[in-house]
Amino acid sequence: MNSRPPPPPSSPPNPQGASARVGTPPVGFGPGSSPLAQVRPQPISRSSTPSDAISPAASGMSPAPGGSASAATGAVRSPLAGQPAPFQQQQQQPSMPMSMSPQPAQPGPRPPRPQPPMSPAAPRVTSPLARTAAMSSTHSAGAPPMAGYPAPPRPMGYPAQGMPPMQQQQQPQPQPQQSMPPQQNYGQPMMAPQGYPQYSAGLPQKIGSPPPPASHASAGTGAPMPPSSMSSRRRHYPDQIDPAAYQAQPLPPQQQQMQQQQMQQQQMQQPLQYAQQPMQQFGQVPQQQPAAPAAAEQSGGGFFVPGAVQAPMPPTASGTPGAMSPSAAAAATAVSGYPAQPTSQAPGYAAQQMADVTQQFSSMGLGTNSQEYQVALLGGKPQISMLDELPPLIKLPPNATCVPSAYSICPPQHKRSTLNAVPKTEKLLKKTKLPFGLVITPFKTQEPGEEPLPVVSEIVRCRRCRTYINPFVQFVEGGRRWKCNMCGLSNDVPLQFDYDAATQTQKNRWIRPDLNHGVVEFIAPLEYMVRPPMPPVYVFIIDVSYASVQLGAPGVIGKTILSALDRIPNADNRTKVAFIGVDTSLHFFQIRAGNPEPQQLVVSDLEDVFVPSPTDLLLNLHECREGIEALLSRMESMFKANHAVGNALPSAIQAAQKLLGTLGGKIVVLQASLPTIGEGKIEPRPEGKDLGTPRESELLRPQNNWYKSLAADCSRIQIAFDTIFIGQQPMDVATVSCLAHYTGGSVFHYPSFMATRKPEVERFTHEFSNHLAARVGLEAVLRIRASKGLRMSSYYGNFFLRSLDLLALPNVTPNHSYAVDIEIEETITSPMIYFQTALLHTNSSGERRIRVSTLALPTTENIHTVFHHADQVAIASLLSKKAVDRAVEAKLEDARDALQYKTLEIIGAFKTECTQSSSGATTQLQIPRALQLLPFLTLATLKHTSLRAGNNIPPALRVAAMNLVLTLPPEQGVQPYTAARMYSLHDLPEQAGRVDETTGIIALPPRLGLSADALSPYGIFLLHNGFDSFLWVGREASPALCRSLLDVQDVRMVPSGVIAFPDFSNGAEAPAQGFELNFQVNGILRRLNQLCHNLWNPVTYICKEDGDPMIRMVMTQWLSEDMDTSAPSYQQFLNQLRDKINRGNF
Amino acid sequence: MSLTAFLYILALIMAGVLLFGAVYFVIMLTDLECDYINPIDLANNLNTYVMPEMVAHLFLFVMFLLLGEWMSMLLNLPLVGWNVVKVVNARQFYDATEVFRTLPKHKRENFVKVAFYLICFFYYLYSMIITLVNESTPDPQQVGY
Repeated sequence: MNSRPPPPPSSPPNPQGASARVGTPPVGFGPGSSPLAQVRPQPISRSSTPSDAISPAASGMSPAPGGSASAATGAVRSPLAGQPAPFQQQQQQPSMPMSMSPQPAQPGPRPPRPQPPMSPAAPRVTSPLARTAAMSSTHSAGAPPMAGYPAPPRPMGYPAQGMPPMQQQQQPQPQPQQSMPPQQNYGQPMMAPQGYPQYSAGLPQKIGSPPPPASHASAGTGAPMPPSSMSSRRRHYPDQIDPAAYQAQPLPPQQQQMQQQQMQQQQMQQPLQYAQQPMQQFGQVPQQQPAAPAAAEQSGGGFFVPGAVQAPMPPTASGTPGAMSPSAAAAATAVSGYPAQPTSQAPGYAAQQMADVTQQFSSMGLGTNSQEYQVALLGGKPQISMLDELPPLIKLPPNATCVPSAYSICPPQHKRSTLNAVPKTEKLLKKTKLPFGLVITPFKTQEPGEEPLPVVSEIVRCRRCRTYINPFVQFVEGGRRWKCNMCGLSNDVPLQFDYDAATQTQKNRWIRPDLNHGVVEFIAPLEYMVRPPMPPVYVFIIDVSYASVQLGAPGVIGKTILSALDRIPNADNRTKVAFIGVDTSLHFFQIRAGNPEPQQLVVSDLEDVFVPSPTDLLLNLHECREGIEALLSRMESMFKANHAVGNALPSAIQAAQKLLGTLGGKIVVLQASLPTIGEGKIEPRPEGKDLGTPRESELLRPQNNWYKSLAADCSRIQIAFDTIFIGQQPMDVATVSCLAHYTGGSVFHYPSFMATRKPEVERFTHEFSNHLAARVGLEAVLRIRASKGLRMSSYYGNFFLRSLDLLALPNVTPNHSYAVDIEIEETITSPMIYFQTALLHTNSSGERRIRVSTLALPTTENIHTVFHHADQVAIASLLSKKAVDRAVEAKLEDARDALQYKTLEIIGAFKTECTQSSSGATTQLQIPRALQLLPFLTLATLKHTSLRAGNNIPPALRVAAMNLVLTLPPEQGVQPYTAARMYSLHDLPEQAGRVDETTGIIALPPRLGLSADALSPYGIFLLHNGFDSFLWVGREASPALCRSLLDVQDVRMVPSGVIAFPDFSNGAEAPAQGFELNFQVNGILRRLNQLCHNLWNPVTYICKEDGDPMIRMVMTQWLSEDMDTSAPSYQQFLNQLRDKINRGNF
Repeated sequence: MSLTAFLYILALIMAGVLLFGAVYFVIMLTDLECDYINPIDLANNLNTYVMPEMVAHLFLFVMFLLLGEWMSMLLNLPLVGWNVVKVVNARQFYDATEVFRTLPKHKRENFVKVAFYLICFFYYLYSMIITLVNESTPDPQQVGY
């Protein structure tokens, strides 16, 4: 028997061979087993009854949240005609001209949330501009004002004719821009260069002015929407857009020409070129008005910016005396000679929104832009509520798009640029020191309530540069040709644009979704396939060695997969699964269709891995369902007595690779011990003494290149990996996670997992099954195209870079983001630049789709404009990704230094270029409002687990955190994963944690600063970083509070440690008697998880003020404003920055 | 013909081959930049030639050392040192996952190599001729007697 030659590795064993091997005497993994390959059929012990199986219902799984996503394209949506009337009526107010704008200020393809408070003067008229999104809000703007909310809600709407009423009151003497006196103290240059106006007048007064009176807030909410019209706003769109909805919207060419002429005339009249948003042209051209309602309706009624978040706290006007000292403001006033504003304008983001509206009216010489001013940093608290704001407006010149559409701007959740006004030359970019890059989330999960992407079946691309047709192309020669916006080539317009051959009717090209939407999905024809689209295939490699069995992992994994079987994408019953158990040998499981009895085949030849049976190992999930269920439910009992120490992961991966063959698919590696056997075995690395030293980076790098090159090979045959690490055994996460890193997969790490710890098991079960249920995008490639003169230089994220602009993603994970550095190679001459990303992928129903998003950005020669339109969240996201990359490539210390230096450079460059005190020392740190939080975010990044200094972070934890930083989109990566959210629970407003009736979203309480100053001994606080949540219980928390929150008598009875946060109302709509606080906190937690796309299911650490010091330490490291061993406090950090800038050493 | 002359003839041929190899590397890297080849193929392709090239170069160096051709040896010393450093740090191979990040560096390195081998080629040619001429010219002192 020992003389049997091993089968040839390359050819799959034939059926005879397999049966012959199966016939060999059974020698398994037990003692005395032969090292040679033996396969034996092992009827799986039936020691466990089928009742072990957890039914999906019994396991407490919520019904598939991923289902909505996977059904995105197939969902039946109600046609527009079915919309309830109130919404339409509302839209048909003639005061909606803005929606005809070809370049709306903040458009977005999402339907608006139900309408929050209105300006009293216009109770039911919504200006699209003023519309903001509520999806990821921490506050619901719809919430009526309440005690304890310092922030008045933003006024949401204005009548479109004329000035907003508030503005009218507050600016009794509007001053035309050009008559402004010099305002050198703001660093604003006097001449308004082409493209952008200079805004600054009156703003410092606003900063210095007192916070608005409370009546202001109530005025803003004085006229709530009737609920009926609220609900009508949540609506869906048909896949193929109903032409009726567009009837009035597309403009016939003559009309467009007329418009253009009018615009040109107006441009000549206008002092500010930039401000002539087409909106007011529409507003002033009577014949255009009837078109507005339809367009507004088509756009979901407005300029809703997806993902937009409300800013509940006024960023500068209230709350912080230090934001700009009154004296500075006074000085500013004195110098400019500009009279102080009588009262403050609507503070914060409202002001910003108002300013945007104001800007629309600036042709009347009224407006200023409150977004563009500086703030002083020293002495103030960071305005973290600004994190919930929208990125700075992308202000495109008029006629940027070929069709006026509110959807034409790519929403920031899809693609976010660090600079929303791009310098024309590299020199200027270098001068600003700002990083220029994109953070792209190409496969974003559809938010609940978000309309699905429009689907187009005909693909039209530029002949030369292969750019997909997009809203920013121009039609020339009477509409017979279109001019590519990337390369400028004129292409023929295909016949089907205007003529439907099937029905032999004329078509209206202006309603085409690809000309209206910044993000569309094309159905790819055969030319985009190299083979028939593959089904979703999952191979689970489960560690069943002693280390894993001790943790109870196989049982929990089995039950989790079992409960998730219904949620695994399986649209047309083609999904295949396979299971491989790994210890010192490989355990395959064979299930024959129709026979529910799984058979275990054990292969102990690890040198020359082969697949023991040619069939019935890769199982069709639908056909073999019974057998799979039997297998998974017996996972625990099967390996309960396994004492094999060692793990042959490399061989298992090779076997899985052979099993998948040319099919491709996803290999989920569930690892609980170090791979010790096989070609890619890993030596344990001593960690302790290197932590905190420069050698630490060595531990973050892979030990060998085996996994890396395997991943590269796998990416080519469309195999992706997810690596899930369980337990605290050394597993060399850095090496094994390469598998996921280069194939576009995810890395999960559960260091404190144990089958006996209920919260941890719950967390694992939720996260893993959510992950399995996630939408799939298979055999994907992502290509990024940019206008001429721009070059993509380096990429960050989990992918395999196949060429300079092509990312290979065998399996694109939803909500993974990819960052790219962009260089300006040539001077840009055009007023706009474009980025187009195309994600070609196969969806779960086996359809090849191309998701194309086009982002247009204005260019400028003005350094102020560049600074004031920088997106600090995108910058922080890009910089943290670069820092993580650098930490692995070079040293952690280098990465931290580089990050700090970058911040220093940016502030220094702003000081030199844009402020009066360009040389010499200053006592204050001036920074553009748009970059106000940059120092805080830098500090938070420095203190984050991924980059934190110190010797107490195990490499496994750090690598997992680094991978998250690398893959999370800015909306989750910056906040909450870097800068956590903190709330006080003892003084929760009544509405917090409850579903807001106007928005349908759970309202969040006001945020606290991330500092221990905010913690008081009589309070209870919640800190949530997406991944974990901490409940800080003060020493003197009242018994009533404890009872209502945790059902304990008083604070001494509060347990310390990890819990799964209890829900005493059992998911009911109303709180259980006496547990109102518990109900509210559960609501808040639910909302916070939702904001992270339910990627995580945090456990709650109860951190008592006088409790476990370990937990306290872990929690305090998230208080980013405070000093700790790794980094200075926020104020110290600012002082350091100032000193360095004053010394000029940056 | 002396051993030295023979060595220079061999070195001339090898320098030609190495030069050709370096040009091939440059062409492949340029192809990668233009997306004619994917990084995995490139890495597999080039990695087969990395070690032979180094060994060939080292062989020449050792031969120069043994035969006491100090000038030639010194000429080759920097590259040998560079190669040794790379091998010691296990950085000699092309990594498909990192190749784009290091592409400019690789290209520069190979351009330098092309130039170096070209110089070597002509130096060996010159040395070979000198050696052969010296061999064929009788020693004037001997002629005198």
